[in-house]
Amino acid sequence: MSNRPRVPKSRRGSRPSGRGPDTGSNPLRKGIIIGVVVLVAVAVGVALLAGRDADQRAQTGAAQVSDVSIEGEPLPRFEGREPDPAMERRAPAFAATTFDGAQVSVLPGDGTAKVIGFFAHWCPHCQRELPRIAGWLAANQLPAGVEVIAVSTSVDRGRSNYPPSAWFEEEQWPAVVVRDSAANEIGEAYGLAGFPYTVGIDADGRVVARVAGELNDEAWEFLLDFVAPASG
Amino acid sequence: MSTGQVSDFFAVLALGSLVIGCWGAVAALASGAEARARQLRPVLLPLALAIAAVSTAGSLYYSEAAGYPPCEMCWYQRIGMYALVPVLAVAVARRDRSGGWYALPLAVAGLGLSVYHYQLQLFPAQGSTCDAEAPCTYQWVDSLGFVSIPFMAGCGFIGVAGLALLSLRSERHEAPTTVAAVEPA
Repeated sequence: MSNRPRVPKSRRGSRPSGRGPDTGSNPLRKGIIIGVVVLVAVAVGVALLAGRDADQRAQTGAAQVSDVSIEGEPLPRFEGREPDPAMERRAPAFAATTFDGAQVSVLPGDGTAKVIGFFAHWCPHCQRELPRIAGWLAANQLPAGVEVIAVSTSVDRGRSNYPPSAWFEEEQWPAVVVRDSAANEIGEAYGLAGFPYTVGIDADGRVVARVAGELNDEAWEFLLDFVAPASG
Repeated sequence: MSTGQVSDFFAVLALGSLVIGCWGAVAALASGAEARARQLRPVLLPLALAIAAVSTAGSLYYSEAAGYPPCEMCWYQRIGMYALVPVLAVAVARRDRSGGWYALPLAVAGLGLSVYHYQLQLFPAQGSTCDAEAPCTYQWVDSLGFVSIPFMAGCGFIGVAGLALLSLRSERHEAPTTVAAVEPA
């Protein structure tokens, strides 16, 4: 062992001024900086060249929302709590129009039980639910004294699968479908919180079921039988 | 400039961040990482800061300018990304090479959330309902055919994580900067 004093190398003292890794330039660092600049330039170029017009797909003749009128107390927002505070409450009546402009009045308590489905064109669960129910309706008979009504709501031309009128047509929806207003007033009046949303109303106009989420055939049939007026 | 064009712009930047982050992670683990990290040290954390800042700006653009309401998962990712900006800014301002230690957990946690959110968009059948206001399954942006907002966030987190990781390699092999007292043998 040498008995010379050992002096640890100082980083600054061991290299010529201005040539250390922190102060000088090097090819790797230059490459990174140039790469970032090129990346930003490419991003700007792609954005300018793409120049897409999202409104192109939104061209349609039919209005997708329309004025509605609602009568009655709105139902509380559906939070999925048990028991549902809307149970046994009278469902609000509403008047709206179909995509063709035909007037439809939905009057709970008119002697016909109703199942009202709320659908948003952009919701992936609605996109699965609608054809399933359409297929069921096409292949099966509704229980006596029950009608099914679809409400197209939460319409947004900036979102996918627009316009909803074309969607309902493509899926060959066989029952009545009405347009909600731009402010989603029917949905609000029925306590809509998520899609798809289904409300069952008995023949006396009382809410007997509210469900958020997709329904399989079994649940759908149970709901229809549940709201149907007791025979005999 | 339309929202679609802005999305394409952010999508390309996000892919660039993905490449940078992957490269940073590989460079941090490969042989010669220390020398490479020392060479790049002055740009690593500033670049990570730039990625976090642009990601934050993009997030705010989508919610405030484009009007896309952030869903629950978006908010969780925002916690990570927004916090990265001041953390990295302080590290850069103070030239604190250990800043990577503070950025890395935020970026990794954010990346996990982004991956979960992105797969939720790809496979929405995991749930059965869409929230009426801000559903996590809905894909507001679909740029280049596969780039959505959580995908971009994930790329941002990967970029920050890769650069932070590489910056830590330069820290590990730092020589002492003070001259020790001369000790007699």
